[in-house]
Amino acid sequence: MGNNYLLEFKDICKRFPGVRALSNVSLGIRKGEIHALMGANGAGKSTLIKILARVYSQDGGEILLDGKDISRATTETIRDLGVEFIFQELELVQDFSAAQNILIGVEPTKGLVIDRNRMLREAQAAMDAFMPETVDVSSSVSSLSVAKQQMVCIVRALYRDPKILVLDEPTSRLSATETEALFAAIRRLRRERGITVIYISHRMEDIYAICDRVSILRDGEMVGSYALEELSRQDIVYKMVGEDIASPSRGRVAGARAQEGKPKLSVAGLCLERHLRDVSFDVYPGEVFVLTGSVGSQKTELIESIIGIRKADRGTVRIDGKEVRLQGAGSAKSAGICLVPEDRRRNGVIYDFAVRSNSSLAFLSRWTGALGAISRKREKADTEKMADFLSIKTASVETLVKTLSGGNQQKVVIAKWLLGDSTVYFFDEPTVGIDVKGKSEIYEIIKTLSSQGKAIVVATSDIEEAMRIGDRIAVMFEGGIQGIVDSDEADKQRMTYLAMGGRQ
Amino acid sequence: MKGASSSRSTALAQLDKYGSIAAFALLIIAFSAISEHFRAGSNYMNIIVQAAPLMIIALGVNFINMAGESDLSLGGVIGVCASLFCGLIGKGASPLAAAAVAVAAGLAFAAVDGLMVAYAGLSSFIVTISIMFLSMGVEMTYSKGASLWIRDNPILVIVNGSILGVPNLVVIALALFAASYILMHKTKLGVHVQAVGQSTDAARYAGIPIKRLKFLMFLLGGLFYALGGMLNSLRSSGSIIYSGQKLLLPALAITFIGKTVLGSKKSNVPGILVGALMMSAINNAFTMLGVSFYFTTIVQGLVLLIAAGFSVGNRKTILQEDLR
Repeated sequence: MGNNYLLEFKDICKRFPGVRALSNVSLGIRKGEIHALMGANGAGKSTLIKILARVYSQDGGEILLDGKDISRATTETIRDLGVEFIFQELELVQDFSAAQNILIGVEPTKGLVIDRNRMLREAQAAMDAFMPETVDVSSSVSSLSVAKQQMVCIVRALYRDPKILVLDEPTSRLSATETEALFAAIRRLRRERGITVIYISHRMEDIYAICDRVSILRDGEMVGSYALEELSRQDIVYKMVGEDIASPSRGRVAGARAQEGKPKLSVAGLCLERHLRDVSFDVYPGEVFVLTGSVGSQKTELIESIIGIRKADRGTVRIDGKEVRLQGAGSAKSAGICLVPEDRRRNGVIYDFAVRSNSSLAFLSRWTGALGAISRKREKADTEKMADFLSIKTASVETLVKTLSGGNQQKVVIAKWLLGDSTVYFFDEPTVGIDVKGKSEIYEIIKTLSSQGKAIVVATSDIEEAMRIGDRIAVMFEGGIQGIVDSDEADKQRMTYLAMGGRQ
Repeated sequence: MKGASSSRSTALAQLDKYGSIAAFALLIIAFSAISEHFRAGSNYMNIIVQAAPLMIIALGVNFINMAGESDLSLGGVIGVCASLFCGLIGKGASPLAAAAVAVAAGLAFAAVDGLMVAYAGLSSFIVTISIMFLSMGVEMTYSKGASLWIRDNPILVIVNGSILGVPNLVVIALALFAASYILMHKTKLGVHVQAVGQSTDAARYAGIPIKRLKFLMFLLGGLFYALGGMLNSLRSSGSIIYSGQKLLLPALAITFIGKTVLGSKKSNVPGILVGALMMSAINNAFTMLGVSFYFTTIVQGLVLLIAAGFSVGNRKTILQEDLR
């Protein structure tokens, strides 16, 4: 192939505590190409990009830009090398105007003072060149919709005239016209300036609309780089998911019992401005109900609105037919509902606590005696039993959670909620960043729970996973449910179609 | 329904924006109505003169606040600067030389704060409270606990004099205020500091040198503490032990009142002017009303608490932003 790469990743390795994020990833990006980076959630795409952005530094390997190693660069200097990023997190100063955000760091000055008029003029011109008459750049960013904030990020990056532009799920917040404007801008920049683009997305449409080549990551390893016309959509999905889960086991315990009796959990007409549009569904005792959809489909927001972490604008949540108004994890807990959250590092476990104290945290009063003191003996016995039941791989329950692998950490989070005897369980992306074996163990736990008659809601971006564990699967797209499919009738193509905004 | 709620929210926004200014006006009117001493013409100018050193010190903390850090060290650093200044003049040094030493001391403490916080990444709360006690010790060691008076020095006349009826202290304070305003709200540097203070991620994205700016803001703070401390001592013709301690609480109250001005809930320079006048008016009114000075810190503490309460942003927005 020759070494004509503008940007080259060589044998990049990266570990996080308990997670192997990237192992020996090599990838070459040619000048002037639009290169898609694909992979299931947790495959390591964002980690790789954040290493390029110097947010993380790699444990091994090097990155060459024009043949020169850039490991010395910092988050502050990487952009001087002509690399611009648009991350999923909107990194904007909320109280600043759009214009201030677009020109931040490169403000025009008159003497010592910022030339406000020229700043507004230049920012507006840049914005209008991208998409006319959409954003008034003098308005403060906090008053803009998420889509418009995303456009401010895009215009900010384009304004700096980068050599390489890295886009991480740029269209997840954009409408079709806004997406088209982004693509037009990218094509124009490539034609006029020879810009090189790394494009991360779950949306097949986007990938085929704009990319030339695609590289696929799976579980932190590079599967390969291909010309896009060599691969069909199925090929890409196949390479993303791998062979391990190619033939999902259909041994669902609860399948037959699903939807008998009265619904345990009913959600009706849930709306949340900018996030949810009129979401309704029922979950029956013993049923595994899966919410799937790509990034930006608002699965987490839906769960948070049900639990009351976010306050829905409209809609009702019923438990056993009785309306409940939940105010967050605390009141959900009393109603017998628990949430195993998405980001276990931030919301799920306390790193420096032992397995025992992490598992017992939510329902400590179970082990308190007359004076409110915790009976260590009973606490230990119960957590040991639970650790056993979940086969958490740990030397003892006194081991610190930070020393466990990602999969075992996730089981500790699950242990915490299982000890409370809830009747409704929400799992938000329960297997992200967990290896194949850990995944199937977590599937087993979910199955066991459903066989005990619990109502279970699992949010997952992974369609294979949805089909493997769900009795019914709701496919979400941009805050609405596109369709609910019985898993016996589910096929990947139809679900992918729904997840991309198609109608049943 | 929607119209009603949106008109309610605009009303709330107006209250947010001008509420603290309205509260200030109401206070002045109320104090003027109650006390004839308060409403005496010359007393209003008194309030402004009393506000001047305090405002300069609060401007100093405000630089650091705008970079997203806090600073308690002023409680001790001001005392060191003031006692060095007064002590050296008492020993016959020229006011200019004494001022240079005081400023150098202020900058030195600020540099330690800045290095520890910006470069070593320590918590600014812990670092600056340590420096506060450390500098109080330095002040005590230097002054041996005695008050250091300045007598018959022309600098007293100059600083406490006036131009065209405007006290020189007020002129100096307004000049520093204007300079701070332009620096923090009009120049690139100031806007970048605001970006650092409000969103470190966004600032990092923009390639803004976060550490350097934080360090610089600590230095500016140290400079203003020294200036404020010296002017404060000149107003009372000397440095009384632990004079900085007495200014810490009012200065913090001013910065929090400042956040409530203009509705941004963020540290800003104009807010410091409003806050300083408000604090000064409250102190003055209590004196005029004959309230025991024992009571003053209680009230200052309450004002700080109330201002801190009002300076918290809208809870719903915070929740949603944080969850994103």
